[in-house]
Amino acid sequence: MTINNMNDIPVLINASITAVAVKAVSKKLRGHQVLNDIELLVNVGEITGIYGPNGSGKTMLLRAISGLVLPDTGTVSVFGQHVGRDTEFPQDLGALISGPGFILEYDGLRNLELLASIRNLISKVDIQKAIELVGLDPNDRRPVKAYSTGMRQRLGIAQAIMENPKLLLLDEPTSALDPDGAKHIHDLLRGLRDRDTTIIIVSHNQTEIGILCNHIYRMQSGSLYDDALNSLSNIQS
Amino acid sequence: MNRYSALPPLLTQSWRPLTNQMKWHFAFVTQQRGWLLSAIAFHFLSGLLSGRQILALNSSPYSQPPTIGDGLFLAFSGPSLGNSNLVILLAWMLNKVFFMMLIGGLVNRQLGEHDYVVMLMVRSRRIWWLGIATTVIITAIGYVSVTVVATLAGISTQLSWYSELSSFFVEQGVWQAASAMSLAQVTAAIFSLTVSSLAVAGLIQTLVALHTHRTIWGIFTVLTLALIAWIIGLENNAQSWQQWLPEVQSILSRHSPFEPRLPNFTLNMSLAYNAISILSLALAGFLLLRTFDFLGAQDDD
Repeated sequence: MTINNMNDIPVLINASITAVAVKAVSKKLRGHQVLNDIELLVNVGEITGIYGPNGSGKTMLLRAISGLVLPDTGTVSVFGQHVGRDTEFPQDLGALISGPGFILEYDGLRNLELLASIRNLISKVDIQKAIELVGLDPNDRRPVKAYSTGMRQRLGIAQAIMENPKLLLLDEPTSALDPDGAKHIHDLLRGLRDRDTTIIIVSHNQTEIGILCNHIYRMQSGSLYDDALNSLSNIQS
Repeated sequence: MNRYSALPPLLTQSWRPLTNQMKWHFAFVTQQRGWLLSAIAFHFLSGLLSGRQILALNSSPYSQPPTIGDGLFLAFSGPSLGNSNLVILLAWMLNKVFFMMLIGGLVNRQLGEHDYVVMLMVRSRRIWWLGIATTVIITAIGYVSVTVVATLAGISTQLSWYSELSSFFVEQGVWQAASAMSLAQVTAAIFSLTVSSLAVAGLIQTLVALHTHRTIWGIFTVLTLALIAWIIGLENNAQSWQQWLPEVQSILSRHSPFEPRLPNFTLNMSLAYNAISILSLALAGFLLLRTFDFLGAQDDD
């Protein structure tokens, strides 16, 4: 096979192992540069962590990867498909961004059933299993408005994983959980990673990022830096 | 090459995400049922007061007794030309406010916290918008059905059920043509005009709320348009250009034949105007969402 265009090489090489490719993505909102020339490659079956202070652009990057926000410049590809050109939204994506939102008067199972019915890919048993995996009781008939913040967060994670997506985007997934709850979710995420689920986590909690992720990035003022590994090595050790 | 490939995606993709996402949207609307209950109570009271008002005006012992249709007409007539009665204005405006509050959660909570949940399930901005627009229209139909029944219930405490209108309006020297209409015709006119007008108002509210990321601006825009429609008729302004302004279509009493000074402003014209407005707003939504950024809650990073 002859390669005429050198730009094709990375695509050919990475098509099977690269889950997410963010190339030169920039975004300005109301005169404020929220994403600045972002470059990010995430491999299949890895957990990538991005930490940074509030307002640094972490959530905006997740929104750009998920197709909810369209970059001014640059490209986002998920499993080889250009988001915004080949597909409006990544095809095999689960997400928990900016806190979960539910119909407060319905119980957790009914909320997830309603959402799952949109695509009708999974059964009630699958939904129940996802709820159990995050440590909730699928037979709990209390309305979501009676849930604690932590329980709502767990339900949000259950919603994100219930269709068994290949790519999982999680925004501060354990911010409302106690240490035991956070450990439960960490174990769950490691289990998903071992089944080749690609996970991107953003958090301002450096410890969580340090103990969970294969690759770590730091975000500051809309720019992404890959110099985080050294600074977090102490935490991991 | 597939001969259907040139068809717009809307015609070729599955409709399941549209119908199923609407269950979620309606669940949102249902959460605001306090506003619907308030609207029902308000319309019951409005009907009751309309009936009392007609009975008070109809003091002549020789005139035909007013019927429930007369009360319904009065309750939904809106501010006529030259009418500066603030109670009538308030009743007409409140009907819009209740409806907009009912559907307000549909967009503000979708924007604020739920946007990605449904959007990433539907995976199409067009289908998502179509679901929102259809939900607004169906909610308008349900809302008007319920409020018309509540109004009739309120009127029925004062006036008798009869399938024809009485000669009440003729004897009062207003709305000559109303006496020639049956209760069914009045109800149909009110229903179609109010549903289509509220659907337009709801879509304007939704689009402005989407564009500005603030529900209050959507409501403010509709109420401003309604106030302008009221103000231009305050000085008995019978110039025909007013019939082309938005929200004037929602005023039953300014239509011909009830308002002889606006002979070209017919119910059919308003229904066509509203239908075109609904299609235009739906199209505007498609265009807006093509490049729309779903930013979620204000405290996003």
